[in-house]
Order: sequence, then C-alpha cells, then structure tokens
Amino acid sequence: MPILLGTLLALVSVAVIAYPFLGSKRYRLVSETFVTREKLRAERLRIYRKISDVEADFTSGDLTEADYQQQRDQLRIAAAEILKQESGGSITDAKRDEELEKEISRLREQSTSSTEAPEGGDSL
Amino acid sequence: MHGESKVMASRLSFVIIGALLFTLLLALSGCIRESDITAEQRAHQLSGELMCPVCDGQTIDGSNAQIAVDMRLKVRDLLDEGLTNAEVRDYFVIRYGQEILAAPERSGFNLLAWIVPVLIVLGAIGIALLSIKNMRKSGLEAQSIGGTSVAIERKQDDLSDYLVQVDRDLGMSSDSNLSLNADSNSDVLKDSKETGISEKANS
Amino acid sequence: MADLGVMALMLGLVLSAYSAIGAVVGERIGMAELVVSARRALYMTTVAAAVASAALINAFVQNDFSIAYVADHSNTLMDRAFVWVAFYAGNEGSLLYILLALSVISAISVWFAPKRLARSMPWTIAILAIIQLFYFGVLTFAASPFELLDTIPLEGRGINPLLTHPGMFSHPPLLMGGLIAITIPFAFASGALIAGNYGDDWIDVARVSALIGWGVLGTGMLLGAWWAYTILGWGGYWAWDPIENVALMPWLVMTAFIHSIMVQKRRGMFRMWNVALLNIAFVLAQLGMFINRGGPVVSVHSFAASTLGVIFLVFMLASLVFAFALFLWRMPQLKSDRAMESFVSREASFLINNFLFLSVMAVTLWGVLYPLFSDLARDVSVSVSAPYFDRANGPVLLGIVIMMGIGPLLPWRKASARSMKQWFVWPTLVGLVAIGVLVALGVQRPVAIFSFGVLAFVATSIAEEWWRGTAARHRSGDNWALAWWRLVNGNRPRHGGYIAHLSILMLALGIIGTNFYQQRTDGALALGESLVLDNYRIEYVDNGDSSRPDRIAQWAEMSVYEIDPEDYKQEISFARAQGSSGFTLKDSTLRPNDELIDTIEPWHGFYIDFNMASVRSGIRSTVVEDLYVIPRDFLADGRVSLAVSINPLAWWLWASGPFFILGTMVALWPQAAVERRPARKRLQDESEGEI
Repeated sequence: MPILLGTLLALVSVAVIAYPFLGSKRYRLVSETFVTREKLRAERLRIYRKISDVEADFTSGDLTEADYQQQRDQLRIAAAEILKQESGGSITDAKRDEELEKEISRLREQSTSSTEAPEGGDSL
Repeated sequence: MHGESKVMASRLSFVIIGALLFTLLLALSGCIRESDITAEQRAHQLSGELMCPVCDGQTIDGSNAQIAVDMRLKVRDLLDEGLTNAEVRDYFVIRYGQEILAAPERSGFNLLAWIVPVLIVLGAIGIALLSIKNMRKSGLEAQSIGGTSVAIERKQDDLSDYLVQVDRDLGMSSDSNLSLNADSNSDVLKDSKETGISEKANS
Repeated sequence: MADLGVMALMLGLVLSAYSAIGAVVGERIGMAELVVSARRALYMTTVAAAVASAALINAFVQNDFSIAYVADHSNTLMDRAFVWVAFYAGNEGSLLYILLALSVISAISVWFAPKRLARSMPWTIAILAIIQLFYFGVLTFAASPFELLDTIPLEGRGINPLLTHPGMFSHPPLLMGGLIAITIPFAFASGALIAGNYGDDWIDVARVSALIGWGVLGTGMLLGAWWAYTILGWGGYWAWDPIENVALMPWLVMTAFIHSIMVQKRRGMFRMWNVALLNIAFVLAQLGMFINRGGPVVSVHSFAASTLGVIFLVFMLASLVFAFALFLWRMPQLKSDRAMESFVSREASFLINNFLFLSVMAVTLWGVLYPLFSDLARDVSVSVSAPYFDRANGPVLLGIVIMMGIGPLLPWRKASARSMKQWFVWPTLVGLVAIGVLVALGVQRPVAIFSFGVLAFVATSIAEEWWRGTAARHRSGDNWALAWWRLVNGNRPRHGGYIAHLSILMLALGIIGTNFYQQRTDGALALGESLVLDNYRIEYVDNGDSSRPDRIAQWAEMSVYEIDPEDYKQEISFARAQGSSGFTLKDSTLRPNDELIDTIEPWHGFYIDFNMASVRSGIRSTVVEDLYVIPRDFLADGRVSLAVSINPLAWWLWASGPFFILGTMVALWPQAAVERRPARKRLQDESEGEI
C-alpha cells in the first residue's frame, strides 16, 4: 500500500512537470517590453507611495514647508517622467500604447489564455 | 475656539505624559526597596560566574547537579570565611582550571576576549560615521552639478501633461501647479507648526 | 508508512535537482517550457515534503515503533497532543520539519512573486531548489527519519520530558521556521542580482518575507525564554547559550535589514548595504544550523545534536562563498539614487543603528567562537557564558535603545536646529525627571537608573510622535481616536515599527529589573514551616504524589502571605547577621499583618528513562514583580528544598510579546495602492506574462 501511494505520487509529479512540454499550451519567456512596463509601473506606484509618505510626514510636522514642497515636486517630476516613458514618449503616443495592448491581447488569445503564471500581482 | 482647543491640547499632553511617568514609577516600585548585599546575595552572584563542571554550558547557580549544589555551599562557606570574590574565583580555578569561570579573566591571553568587542564596536561606529561622511561628500558634488531651479522649471514644462496625470492619479485637483500646490490641508498644516509642542512648553 | 516516507524524500530529491537545473538551463537557452516545468517541480517538492511529514506523523499516531525515530521519541503513554512535538523532537524529524517549512514558504513566495521579477525568477527558483536539494539529500542519505529497527520494541522510549510543555507546540517550529525563512529574501535578492535587476523591484518581496521571518523568529525566541522561565528551574530566561546565540545573531542582522530597507524604499539609498545584510543573515542562519547539528561548542540544548556537523559546515561555507562572490560581482552596480545630506538625519541614524546591531552580532559571534579559538591557539579551555555577554553586549544594547529614541525623531535628509530643539525637549525632560525621581526614592544601581531614564526618554519620544501626528489630524476635524487611527493607517510600516519599539521597551524593562534587582534565597522546608524573603512569607502547607510509570513526581502546595517586615524585625536582623537574605520559620502562627495573597503549586518530576529532572516553578506574577519558587528537590526526610527569588518587572518580559506580534502585523499589513485611477487595463495585463 505505501509503495503504491509512493508510486502514485511519483507519477503525479512526472505528469505535473512534463505537462508544459506535452500540453497544447504554448509558452514564451516574458518579453522585455512587458517586464519593462511592469517595472515602470511598479516604480511609479512606489513614487506615489513616497509622495503620500511625504505628505503624512508634513502633516505630522516632520518636514518643513520648504522641504515638503521641494521633495514633493521632485517626486512628482520623477513620476511624470516615468509616465512619459510608460506611454512611450508623448501623450499622443498613448495610441501606440493602446495598439500595443491590442497586440498583446491578440497574442494572449492565441495562447488560449494559458497561463502558468499565477494571479495575484505584486501583492507580496 | 482656537485658543480653547490649544489649552485642551496642552492639558491632554500633560495628562498623557503624567500617566506615562506614573505607570513607569508604579512598575519600578519593585526595584525601590533597599537591600544590603548579604553574603547570600554575593554567593548567588558568584555562583552565576562559575560553570558547573559536569553539565554542558550551565553555571552552578542554574544547575541541580549534585556537584553544583556542593559547589554553591562551598562558595557560601568561603565567603563566610571572609574571602573576597576574586579569592573565591581563584580557589575554584586552581582546582578546576580556567574552564570553571563563566567569563574569561581580564588578563594575559584572555584579555583578547575583552579587547576584541571594544574594537568591534569602535570600528563599527567609525565605519558608520566615515561612510556617512563619504556619502555626504559625493552628495554635495552631485548637488552642485544638477538640480538648479531653472532645470526643474524646464522639466515642468516638458512634463506638464504627465504631471496632470500624476496629480489625477494621486486624487488631487488636476489644475494644481507645481510650486503652488497648496492643497486644502496646507493652512491647517501651517497652523499645526505654529502651535507645535515647543510653544506649549513655554505657555 | 516508512516506505512512503522514504519514497517521498527521494522523489523530492530528484524534483529539487530537476527544478534547479531546469530553471537555469531553461533561462540560459530561452526555453520557456523548461522554466515553467522547473517552477512546477518546485511546487511538487512541497507536496513531497508534506507527504514525507504526513508519513512520519502518521507513524507516531499509530505508535509504529518499527521506525527508530518513532521509538526514540514517543511511547504509548504519551499524550496524543504531543505527536506534533514529537515530530520535531529529534535531529531527523526537525530537519524534515525545516524542509517542510522551507518548501511551503518557497512555493508561496514564488507563486505570489510579482511579474516584474519574471527575469530573475528562474534564478530565485534555482537557489531555493538547491537549498531544498541539500535538505532532501541530508534526509535521504545521512539522517533518515524513516530508519527501521531490526527488532521492533514493544514500547518506545518516550518524548523528552522537557518538551512536554505548551510552549513546545510553538517555540521550536517558530524558531526553526523563522531561521529558514531568511532563505526567501536572500533568494529573491540574489536572483535579482544574478539577472541584473539592480533596482528596487525585489525589495517589496524581500521586505515582506524578511519581516515575516523576523517576527516569527523573534516570537519563537520569546516563547523559548518563557518556556525556560517556567520549566527549566534555573530561575532565568536567557542564558547566552551558543544555541540561543546562533538564533539571536541572524535576528539581529534581520532587525538591521528591516530598518535599512525602509531607507531604500523611501530614499533609494543603501542598496549595496541591504544586499550585504541579507547575505550576512543567511550565512549566519546556516552557521546556526551547523552549530545546532553537532557543532564544536558546548550547549545546554542538545535536542538535535548529531554527527552531521561536517555536512552542515560544508554547506555553510558554500553559502558563504556564494553570497560573498555574488556580492563582489554585482557590487559596482548597486548605487544609491541619492546621497546622504546630513549626519543629523533619519538615514544617518539608521546607518548607525545598523552598525550597532552588527557589532552586537559580531561580539556575540566572537564570544561563541572564543573558546574554540583559545583551544586551538594555546590549548587552554575556557568558558564564555552569560557574565561575559552581559558585560560585552549590555552597553551596546543600551546604545541601540537610545538610538531607538533618537532616530524616529530625526527627519529624513536633514534636521534644522530649530526643529531639533523642539522635538527633543520633552523626551529629554521626561528622561531626566524619571532619573531624578528614582534617585530621590533611593533606588540603587546607577547603571540601571540611567537605563530607566533612557526607557522613559524613548517612550516619551514615541508618545510625542503619536501626539504630534494625532493632534495635527485632530485639528483638521477628526476626533482623537479617529485621528490616531488615521495616523497609524497612513504609514503602517512606520507606526507598526513604533508598536514594536514599545514592546522592546517593555522587554528592556523586564531585563533591567530582573538583572539588577533580583533577590534570592535558598531553604528547605518541612510541612508547616515557612520561608520569608523580603515582604513575602511562603508556607509549605501540603504535598502530594503525581508519579506515573515513566516518572517520579511530587507537588507541593504553598500559601503566599504578604507581610509587614516590622512584625519580623528580630528574625530579619538575625538573618542579616548570618549573611542571609531570607530565613525559615518553624512555627506556623501568623503575625498580625500577614495577609494571604496567593497559593502556588510548584512541581518536581524525575524521568527515569531520561535520567532527567523537570520542574514547574511556582510563580506569583504581578506588574511589579514575580515571586518565583523553584522546587529543587523533595528530600528523603520529607522536606522540600527551595530556591526562592523575587524577580522585579519580570511580568513585562512576557507582556512585550503581544505588542511585538501586533507591531509586526501592523507593519506587514498591505497598504492600499495610492493610485486612485481606475485600474482598467491593468487587470488584464496581470494575467499576461507567459511565465
């Protein structure tokens, strides 16, 4: 009985790790553009967090008015610069951004939304 | 109304700090009693400085082994005979060797055991201060190169569309200007600085 | 069941090897399927470890004494609840437990890893898989918990009696789990560095996993201290034993890390430094494993001692070389965004606090290794124990507490002189007043008085921080409670930190009280006799036998009276003349002001098979002090020999625990995203990445 269970466990393991090669799903390594976009977005959210921290510090009296303005402006500019990069150069290039997203969703459908990748985003 | 809340606030801060002190003192009342150092107390202290020879890593104060019990009694006897702490330690070192001491003596080779920590701490603080100094120096250089207000203003113009988006993301009115972004809180905040704690200390 | 366990372990061995190789090869040749497959293999190792653990636990439940480990660590008399404790009560089982914990947290962290780390994930997976591979290998070849006995005994040896305590359900698992959890931030940081991801992308994962490991390890150590205080019967809670020290050292480094990672988060500084801290913490955790598993030092804790020392030494050295090489390789790329602007800034104070933590760690390490060093260098054995560490670490720990009050009061970047004065007035004042009051009340011990002043200073600085932030919010319309809640919620990492700081203050209060003001006396009482120490009278009123087949055990019932020393003037002065702190009373008549305040039942047991004594101290605990009665022995003439002590402020040691956990949780609680734009396209993008 234990031997049987052990064998079963081994077979299941083999099936699980062999599936990516045998299944109908197709996998690609994540594209550089996608990673870059994710990174930019995360960076921007981090800057937003910093801005809210700076505001909280100012509210509690940790920062002088001048320091607060200066830090906040620097952070806002940094965030704007990232937004600019995210949208690929100028605000009118937002169209290009949309096209890119269309392209991505097309590719995704092709791969039949087969994602090994877990949901969950950057909650951790 | 304003003055009233100020008075209330300062009273409250007194209450809070008073309560803090009171709790602390209440807790500390356990330490207040005077206790002369009796021979028994000294014996306990010394027992904590002598290792039990048969138990791994325990002092005789903590061990229930027979030899530890005997050694504790011996320590007390020696103290009653009028020996000093150092003499009691020596008594056991002669019989059991250096190993009987829970902390190495501060002499000879064992001085190393005590000097190294001092060097470590001084070295660590030295490295910390030095690296802060270095980081500062490189910072001052970088500051003199960029970061002029002209550069910032030029950047603002370039990025104005995106700044609007940033403010929108942050849930602020999109027409707020860079150096004029006094949002609704700001008056209150300035107020909070004026009525800060230091002033209350004076009043 | 033994067969299933062995098969699961072997399967895990193969899977983790495959996972490590697959992730690296797949990444190098750009074969997505292989990387996905390697990731799945890492998930399957969790299943393998879980099956092996289940097999072992099942063997305990069924009293399967054909397995040597089960026969060694349980018997049919054992309360079934202790199966969980027996699981990790010995060397092999605890290794399996560590592997289980590691594989579970590896799987969780890989599963939830953010997409932007996709490029470094293969490396992270490979590092995690290699560490699991090591444990699977040890469990398969060197320390199998499923070793069979040739002749099956009818009865097992039983569980180690010292482990049959409620604290043991959580202390060892938390301690081991916390130590192994350091692997996660290390693997993520190293993976990011190998892949050339030098930015701040990994720090959220690293911070969260480090904070969890840190909180778990800290809670584990505190529970261990509590266990020692109630059961070991030596009257203390922390002995600076090597095994305790090797858990403390990584914890100290992790403490430094969770502080300095905040600087990287907020200011983009200390990148190199944070990586270095994680590397040091990880290597120290491996050192801990090595010393635990048969290292060359003497320790009271010998639950896991084994002959695996060499294997773990090699693994520790390998991880040292790996961490060091990786760091040197990538160091030039780890630049700070910004420069330090002032010595008087929060970032500067964080750096100084970091170095203080590291120096406590280094001094402790030096103390642990010095006996070995002395042995090798001049062939003289020495001992290094509590008196040494108290002396060597005490001042630096006090320095850290002082920094705990100063650092949070300093603003980021630089402080102006005006604000400095404004912020330090109250804390300094309260600290000085506290010292003055204590001196006026006649409290002895200057060092302790100064320390109490420091605690008052730090407590006031935290109160002031909360006060200022809350008041500012109150002025803009919130009521006080809501204002404080908003303040804490606005920056949970910071205010969770303050709660944790408060818990450290409570801990420090207990440490100072018990170390500087403890009073002790020894005595032996017959029924009806009393022992008097300070203003307590302890009368021995009853006893009884609670022996069971595996132990000889007795309990005593004692009444605790609070007395007026005036009533006992004669005896007290006589005892003082004898040099004793306390004295015994033969007759049981009470004096006018004696007041019954409590009844305690100290218990003493001797476990025959283990040749080991175990006690439950009788403790009457109040906020002010503990009366602590250790039953050393029940003597043949019917007397019981006692060690009685008064431990001032000991209550605060354990009260700090809930605050420590609360603070960690508040700091961990995820913050809502600041972005208030509807997340339209985002959600779809999340599910896009193809691995």
